Amino acid sequence: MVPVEKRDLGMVFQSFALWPHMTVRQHVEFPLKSPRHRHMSAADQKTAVDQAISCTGLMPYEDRLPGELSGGQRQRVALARAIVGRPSILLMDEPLSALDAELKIEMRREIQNIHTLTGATILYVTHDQSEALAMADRIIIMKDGQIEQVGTPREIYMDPQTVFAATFVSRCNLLKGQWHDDSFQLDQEKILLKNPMIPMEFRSKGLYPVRPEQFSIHPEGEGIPGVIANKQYNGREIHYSIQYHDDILTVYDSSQNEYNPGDRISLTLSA
Amino acid sequence: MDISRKAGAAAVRTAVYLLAVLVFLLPLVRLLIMAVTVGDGYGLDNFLTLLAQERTREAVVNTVIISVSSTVLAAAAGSGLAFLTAYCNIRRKGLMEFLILLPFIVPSYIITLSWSSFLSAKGAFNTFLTALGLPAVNIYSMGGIILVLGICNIPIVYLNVLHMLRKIPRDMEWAARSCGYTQFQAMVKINLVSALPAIAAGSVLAFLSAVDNFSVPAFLGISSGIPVLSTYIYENAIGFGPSAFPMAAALSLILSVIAVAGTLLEGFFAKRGAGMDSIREDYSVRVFFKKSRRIALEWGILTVLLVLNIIPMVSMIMTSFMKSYGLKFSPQNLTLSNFAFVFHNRGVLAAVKNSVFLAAVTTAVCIVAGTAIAYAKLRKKSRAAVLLEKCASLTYAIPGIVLALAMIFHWVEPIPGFRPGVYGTINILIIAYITRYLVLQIKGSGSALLTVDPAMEEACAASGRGFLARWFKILIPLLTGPILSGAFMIFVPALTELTLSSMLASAGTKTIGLTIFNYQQGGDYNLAAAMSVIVTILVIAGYWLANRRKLTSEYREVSGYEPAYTESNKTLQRHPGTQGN
Repeated sequence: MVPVEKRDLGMVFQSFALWPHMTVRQHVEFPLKSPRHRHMSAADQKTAVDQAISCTGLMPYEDRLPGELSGGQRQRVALARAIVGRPSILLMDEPLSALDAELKIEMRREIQNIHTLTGATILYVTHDQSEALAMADRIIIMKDGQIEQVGTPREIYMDPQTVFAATFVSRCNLLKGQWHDDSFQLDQEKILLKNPMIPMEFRSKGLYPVRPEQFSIHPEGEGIPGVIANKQYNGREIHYSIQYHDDILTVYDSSQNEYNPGDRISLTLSA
Repeated sequence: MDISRKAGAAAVRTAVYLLAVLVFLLPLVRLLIMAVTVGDGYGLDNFLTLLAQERTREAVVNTVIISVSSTVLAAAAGSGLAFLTAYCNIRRKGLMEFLILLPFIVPSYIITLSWSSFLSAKGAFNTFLTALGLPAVNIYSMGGIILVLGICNIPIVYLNVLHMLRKIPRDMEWAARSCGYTQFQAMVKINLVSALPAIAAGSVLAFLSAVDNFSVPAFLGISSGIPVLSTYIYENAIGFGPSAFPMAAALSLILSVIAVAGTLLEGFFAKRGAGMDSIREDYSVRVFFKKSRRIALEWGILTVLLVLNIIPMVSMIMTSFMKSYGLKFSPQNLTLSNFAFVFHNRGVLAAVKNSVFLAAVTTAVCIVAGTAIAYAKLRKKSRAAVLLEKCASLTYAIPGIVLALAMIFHWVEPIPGFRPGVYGTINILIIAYITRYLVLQIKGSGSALLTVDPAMEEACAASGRGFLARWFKILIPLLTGPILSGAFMIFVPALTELTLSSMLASAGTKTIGLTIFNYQQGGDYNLAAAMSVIVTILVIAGYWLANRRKLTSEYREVSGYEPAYTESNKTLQRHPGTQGN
């Protein structure tokens, strides 16, 4: 096995792993002083360090110690240290999980910029599904060491291949029933849903996946009947929990028509 | 009711302030005044007289040489051993740790006795050396004192560095590896640098302990005429009586200046390493050696520890069975009469009774008072408690021999016109022990209290329960374990104490330590050895009882090795200070 120090990689740790006794500049210089970069001239090293520091916006903090930096700044130091050696692959192990929500969104953009700037492949580990959907070119969903699905964010979201992939990335309702070829017979209703695209795993388990925004709500009538159990106003849309027999379905509906808890409604599939 | 409560609180506060000043601060002030007392006036003449004496200068120089050299020895050995047990995949860590910490629980005069019996002029080792045509090793020398003090102080450095090393996040060295550095380079550039404050703090503590130590130079230096400050003060005060007290006080001041400066330095280093306080210790193995090298390393370390700790002990045990000192170890020279004497002699039995009584009373008072003060400090933010703690740490920081002298000056007449008559009775020893050890319990109870979330007490109050329920249903059940294991570290040193009792004990109030000291000084080495053997067995048995759960959990060492010592050592690791023996 090739020891870590001989591999051409940069790494950003969940804890940032900054060294409390080194300044920002010393952190960024550190990889270039390793045997891996002994062929690099001092002038080249200085340019590389300056570049890494300036593209992470750390110029004003060059001489500070990690203890004197905010969370976001520490994250930037970890990034600068990882990219300064121009590795062909960057590993990021949940790099944003130690930051608060606001900073996370900001740093997402920062990392995307670094990605376009360096052109390095980034292997980015995260538990945050929205982070994965927002940033990735390609997502690998893993469970218990096994790959569940590989695909672009759109493929993963619109066309999940396994139950785990469907429910792990964002919410997903699973209707219960029987599959007959390409049509799905709901257990409790005399409704047939046709969809040739649903993968085998759902068919064999007698499930039909529906994203919350794929339902639309109508006053009682045709469709899947239900009772509004809970309502949360979210601005652009309203999140409803709908009691359907023993299950709770989640539905995101535009906030134009409002329904209230206790209302009897029926659901149709919009897309 | 509110008014009476406020008045009560004020009364308590005043009492605490009075206590801090009267018990902890005034003795030191008395000492200071005594040092500058010349005839009926005040002046610096005492210092001038002292420094004009050849022997004083010699004592100062010796103290510095011995302390610095033994510190270098303890720092090198302690840090190296800490690195190996904290990071490497060696096995038998439980046993190693026990051997490394042995000088921590066995009083230093017993370690000294064991070494002097191991390296005695006619002993096996020196006979072996002379047979090879090499010069014999003389333990009664500067080198001998340095060696024994160094060994005694290895655990202080070891514990400091060990906990720091475990707290250094593994991410930090992995980050260095991913930057292109080898394991070795990462260890030097990251881990060693991060551990430096702990190494420095540990070394300063070892230095302080060496400056403070009385028994090692007393056992090895008095007979061979090597003065250090602590023994020189003792000789002055004991040898020349009250007329020499101002001189002894002036000497004490010199020694205290060194000690207090060291304490301040230690505080500086401890603060630098304090950023790591909240980090959990990581027991996983970081450095893997190949099997052959690992086994070689394991046995190498065990051999060194065996030579340092066990062989001298064995030699002392052999001495304790000998008819007289210096005989060959053969069946016709063996006897049980030393032990028979020790078990039947009235003086010895009285000394044991005194020591057990002293240790028990001291521990009990310290537990109650120390916990109350820690509680007042942490929960009530009481300034009186903070002041008391500061004063108590001062009486702990100054060398034991100095404190003993201060006790004599102060307690003869603590306030003008009031002579409690404690001097010459066992009460002066109780007071002195509490004065010295209380701070340990304040710190120990404090760190125990920190693990109890104040919300737990608030939840108790919110449930409508009062003071009694808070203490007896919440705090005492939660605190008993850590406080008792912390108190063990007061009980044992108090039981085997020598420095304070060497100055304060009188004919009827001799302690175990003093009895052994007297036998050794009187040339009864076999009796001293026999008594030391008994004390060692008792202390180790006590340690084992207090730690047996941890000691037997060795099988877990492959996956997340558990340390073999208790919370008490961690308390001491934070405030290891000097041990008083």
